[in-house]
Amino acid sequence: MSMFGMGLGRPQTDYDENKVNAYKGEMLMASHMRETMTNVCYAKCIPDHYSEPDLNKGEGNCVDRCAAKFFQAIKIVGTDLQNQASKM
Amino acid sequence: MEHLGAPTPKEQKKLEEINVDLMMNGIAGIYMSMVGRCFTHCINDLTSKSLSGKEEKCLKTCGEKFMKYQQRVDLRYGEESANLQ
Repeated sequence: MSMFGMGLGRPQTDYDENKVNAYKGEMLMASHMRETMTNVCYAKCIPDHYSEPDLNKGEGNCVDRCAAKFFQAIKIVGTDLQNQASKM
Repeated sequence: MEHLGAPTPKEQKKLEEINVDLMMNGIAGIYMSMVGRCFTHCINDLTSKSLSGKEEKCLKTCGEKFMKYQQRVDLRYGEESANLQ
């Protein structure tokens, strides 16, 4: 807080920490989202044998659909969570 | 995040630092989950210390496949997260 506009008692940082934290939260969420999606779609789409180093057609299509569904699921589950949080 | 307003240059710098941190964390996490997955799948015989030819081949194929899988997932992740808002 600047006092009398003279910059007394200024915060320690020269940037808005709340703003940076809000962005950080988003970035953290995105990072976890990517990791979770990687894990769940692998489990669903890549059968447990590795005779071929390439993704076959079925596996590739499965990954595409898995990604689309994953994001739809996020919206539904996330909305519920947000509603709950806003009631608290 | 529009309500927050665009970050100032100082904030931008801070955010880039955080981003690098998160990226490294993400890569390390995904890399280790790949190693764990491939190890669990390919290594079943623990009567010997050294990897057999078969195990080595399995690990290589598994790793290669995982990398290709990761590329595909990241591509779709980018597309889907772009139209999430």
